[in-house]
Parts: sequence; C-alpha cells; structure tokens
Amino acid sequence: MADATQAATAAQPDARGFFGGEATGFGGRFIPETLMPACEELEREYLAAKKDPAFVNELEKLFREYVGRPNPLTFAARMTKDLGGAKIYLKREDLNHTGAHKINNTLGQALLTRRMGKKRVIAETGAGQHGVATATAAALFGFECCVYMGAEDVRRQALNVFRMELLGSKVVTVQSGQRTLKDACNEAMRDWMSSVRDTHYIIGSVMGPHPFPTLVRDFQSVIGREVREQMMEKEHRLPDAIVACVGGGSNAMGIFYPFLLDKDVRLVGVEPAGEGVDTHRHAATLARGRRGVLHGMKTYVLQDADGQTAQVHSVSAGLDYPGVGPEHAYLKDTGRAEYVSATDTEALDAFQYLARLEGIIPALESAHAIAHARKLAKELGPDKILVINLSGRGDKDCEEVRRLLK
Amino acid sequence: MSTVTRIQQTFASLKHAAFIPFFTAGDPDLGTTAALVREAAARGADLIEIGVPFSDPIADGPVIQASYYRALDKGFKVEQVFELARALRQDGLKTPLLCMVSDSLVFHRGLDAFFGAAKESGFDGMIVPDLPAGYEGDAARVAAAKGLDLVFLCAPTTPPERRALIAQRSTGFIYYISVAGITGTRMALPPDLEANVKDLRGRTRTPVCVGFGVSTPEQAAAVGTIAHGVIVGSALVKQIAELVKAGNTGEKLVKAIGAQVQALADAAHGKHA
Ligand SMILES: Cc1ncc(COP(=O)(O)O)c(C=O)c1O
Repeated sequence: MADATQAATAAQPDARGFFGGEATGFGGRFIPETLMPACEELEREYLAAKKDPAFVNELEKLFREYVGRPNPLTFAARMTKDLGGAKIYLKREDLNHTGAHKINNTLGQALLTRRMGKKRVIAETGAGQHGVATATAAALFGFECCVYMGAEDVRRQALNVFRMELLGSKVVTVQSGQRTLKDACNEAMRDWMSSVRDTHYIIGSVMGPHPFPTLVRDFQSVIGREVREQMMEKEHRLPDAIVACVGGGSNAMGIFYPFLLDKDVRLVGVEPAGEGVDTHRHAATLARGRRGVLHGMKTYVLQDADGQTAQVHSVSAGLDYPGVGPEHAYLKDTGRAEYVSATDTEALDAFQYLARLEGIIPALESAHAIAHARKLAKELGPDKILVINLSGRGDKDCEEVRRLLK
Repeated sequence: MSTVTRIQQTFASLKHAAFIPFFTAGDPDLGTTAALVREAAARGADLIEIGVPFSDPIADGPVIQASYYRALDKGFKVEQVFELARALRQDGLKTPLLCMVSDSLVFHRGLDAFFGAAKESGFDGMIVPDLPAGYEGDAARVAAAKGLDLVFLCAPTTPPERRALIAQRSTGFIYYISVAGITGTRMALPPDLEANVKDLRGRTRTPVCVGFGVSTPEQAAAVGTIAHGVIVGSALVKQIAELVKAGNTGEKLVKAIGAQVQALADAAHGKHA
C-alpha cells in the first residue's frame, strides 16, 4: 500500500514477530497452542493480501467512500496563537465514520476475515470506539459480532454500548478482575479459544500475538502517509514533531510509522498518568512498567512485585491498559520515539481547551496528546511545526466529563 | 537428558492409564491445597498438577480463573507454591508434581530462577500453557539442565507439522487438549479425540495425556482406554468452590474431594465400579 515516493519501509519485526530480536526484543507469540494455527493462518493470509491488488484496492475504496478518507490536516490557528509557539496542525481522525481511527483497522481485518472464510468476529473494547468500529465493519460485511467490554467501561461509555447494539452486535459485560480493558481482552481470548475455527478476533490495537501488532500498524499507517502528503502540500516540508496518545498504541504507531526513518521528526507518545505516575493510579506503562508478558506479547507491563498485573487507572477508558504494543517498547528502548505522560486533570483541561479554542471536542484519549502538545508547542518555538493526532471525537465522553466536572 | 525423571519412571511402571488431578495453589487456602494433594495421592492420583494463580490467565477457563482470583484475593504469593511443594516433599510425598504456570510469572522471576526454585522445592515438571512449541526460547534447555520435564500442549486445531514439533519437544508427556476451548467441564467427549490421540501416539514414545473438559468418571474411563493419562481440573476446582460455599471446609472438604478423585482414578485405571 505504501507509495514509493514516501518513506522507505521501516524495520519490520523478524519472522517470528520480534521487534529488536528474540533475545532482547519485544513481541512474539505467547499464546495457548489452540490459537497458534489461527495466528499462523492470519499471518499467511495477511502476507498474501498485502501483495494482492484486489485487496489493496478494496481497502482503499472503503477508506475513501465509507470512512471518508483522506480526512483533513487542520491548521489550529487559535491554539497556535494562544500558545505562541510552534505551528499546530490537527490530524482529523475524529472526522472518520464512527468517530475515531479505530475504523481503519477494523475494515482491514474485516477484509481478512472474509478472505479466511470466517463468518463471526469478536473484539475487546475499552472506550467502546473499537467495539463500535468492529460492530460497524461486521454490519457492513454481514458478520455475526460479539464485543467484550468491562463493566466499569460499560458504565463510563454507555452511549457506545447502545451504538454497538444498534449495529447488531452483542455486547458482553465483563465482571472479572478490574472490569476494564485488560479483562475484556482476557474474555475475548477465551471466546476465541473455543470459537477459533469460524471466528476471527479483531484485536483493536498494535498489541497481542504476532502478527497483530504489525498488521494493525500497517492498517493504521494510512494516517501517517496522509500527514506526510498533506504536510508537503501545505508547508513543503516535514513536521518537527508528532504527538499522539498511547493506550495500546495504534493511533500513535499509525502516525509514527511512515516517519520512522526521518530522524529529524520527533515522535512523541503520551501515556495516561492518571492521578500521577508516582501514585498507584495511572496507566503509564512505558514510564513505569518493566519487561513482561501479557496477552500474548513480550512488552512493557505494569506489574506488582510478584509479577501479577497491576491495577491501573485512567480517566480515559481507551487508555486504561497495563500493557503497550511491542513496537512502542522497541521504539522507546532504541530512543527513536519519546514517551511522556499527561494526568487526568491535564486531559480534562485539554478536552475543554480544544473545544473552546478550535470548536472541536476531542476524545478523552486524544485530549492526552493535546495536553502534552500545549507544553511542547511552547518548548519548540514559533518556526517549528507540530502535528497532533486527534485520534477521535469526544461525543462518547460528554456524559462522563459532565459528571467529573460537577 | 540421560537421567530418567520421576515423571518418566511413573509412566514406565504404570500398567494402566495415569490419573492426574489439578489443584489451584491457595484455593481455598494453602493448608487445604496441601491436604488435597496428599489425599489425592492416597486415593489413586498418579501425578498431580498444581496451578499457580495469575491475574490474567488467557489459557484457563472461567472456573480456574475464578479460583486464581480467590487465591489472589487472599494474598497468594508465587513463593508460596514453592513452599507448598517443599512441605509436601518433607512430608514424604512421592507422587510426581507438575507446576502449571503462565509464562508471565516465569518471565517476571526469570526462567532460570523460576525453574530452579521449582526443581529445588520438589516439582518434577513444568507446564507453561502460553509458551507454545517454537516460542519456548531457552525453556527446554533450562528445564533439561535442571532435570525438569517440560510438557507442551497439543490442540485439536494443531496441524500435522506442529504436532511433529510438539511430539519432538515435549518431555514427560504431551498434554493433549480434548476440546478446542478453554479448561472447563464438558458433557460429551469430542468425536475427533481418539483419532488425534492415535496420531500423536504414532509420532512419539512420549506418553500422551488428555485434559481440558474431562469431568466425569465415564469420560475418564473412556479417555483411559485411548491415552496414557487422564487430567481433570475444572471439575475438581468447581466442586471445591461449591463445597466451600456450602460451608464445608477442612477435613470435610478434603474427604469429599478425595472420594471424587478416587472415583475418577478408578475409572481412568479401568477398574469398574
Ligand atoms: C479515540 C481514541 N484514541 C486512542 C485510543 C487508544 O488506543 P490506541 O493507543 O491503540 O490508539 C482509543 C481507544 O479506545 C480511542 O478510542
């Protein structure tokens, strides 16, 4: 799918799915034997599909005519003026059909599902955006769909639960563990164990066993490719920095990936600091985690001293996850990307800030990127260019934010 | 590895299928787990699996996950599974013990440290259900160096090339998953079970044991005629939870589970009730 005039292909994981090598790297496939054949099949299908013009064209057509791509790169004039620093552009994933970047991935995986002859899809969801995007793709392709969502998130993101049901999906409320995203992942994996023969698990971020981190990144990298083109058109040069929020890390990988080889472009991922990274209530995996294994991948994980997964917290349901995609772990260790964090309070401020200054209500997830960009724009100074990945819109968060601001 | 492990000796000396119960360490408490293991050994268990509670067990079904959460809620610490094995060995338990643990916990402590502690405390083998053949890294080498068996799982979905790999890598026995699903109790045994077990047996001299979804003595008897061993986990763990819920703990619980183990063991051994 990559245009030859754009960035050369950056590093791929090795044949077994490790970024940075098996001994010291991240990724792999740490899953029950029952799921191994499905991951192998998915890898084979994906490698074939990537080279199949019919597949590539169909996905591009869906992006154009169903998602509404390319979406704009909007110059944020009032925000730029207010901060008095770098020129700020917003990549408008919020304008996609279903309101977030998640649809880029679910349509790609839905096409793969059809190629594999499977008729049912399942997904985990935190904020509900990936669940909605999966339910949407399932409706479009005529698949049966079941979405797993933690009970706490069902409460926080009630509107999205209704949307999924409206789209014909079953939503299963997960009551185990912390009742958030990681528990929804456990439950979806468990479903997949017994349904794997006719079901594809549409993982919602650049996480899980190989090849998911790679294929989700590839589907999401349409974001970065468009930014490159739009930037050249508007500014005739590449940006100085790109900022994106990091939950599992798919919107960030999608916008970073086409710039990995452009060493002068700073890539900045923003993790959720919750009530502060020095408290026990945050989900800043790259800042405070250590190497571990979770949900089929070797990556940074927030764990307690005994190796049990730690309790995590973020005001944003989509970032409330104790792991992170393995490629981010690799980019952190190699220093190619920098990872910072924004607190719940900073995100809530940024949520309102963007609404008032630009007339755009961002998703709480994306608000973390905006919060950090407010600092970075000043630091960079006026002749620099900063791109923020506005990964989604905030309609789904209005109820919860209203409750929190009261 | 040239030395014969306790697990290998056990299979070599058995004249019938082995019966292998599974217990979660620390459910309902560690003292009871120790008593359950001793009771099971006395009632005909040939090998015993002990599960290490983990917060995110993707390979286990809801019954075992719930038991892990119960143990963790009571403050279970990984070190205690080693203390448990050590205490059982000091008590004179001779039955082979297998440690079933998520790779997450092994990786956290370090492969060498985890396997070392397991061996030193009295375990004979490791089952790491989220470490599939081909991704075991140094695990096979470290297990062999410590004198532990490393048991790999094989599923109904496993294609022939992977079956060959599993047959080659697994030591002690091969754990054949009877259903393409998570651990739990199922009503009937799947129709492809016999053919798949036969296929595996044709590939290796390593014993093949069947688990995941075996719950009744009837099923245990049926599996006992086609495999080298019968593994029962969820059915026992579920019964333990129900007994505890009904207020039956301590000796009462241990005797009731002991009777269930005996019925399953007799069936697996081909003794008719
Ligand atoms: C709008 C939005 N942005 C970001 C995320 C976080 O996911 P990722 O880090 O994979 O982009 C989510 C997840 O729900 C989301 O809905």
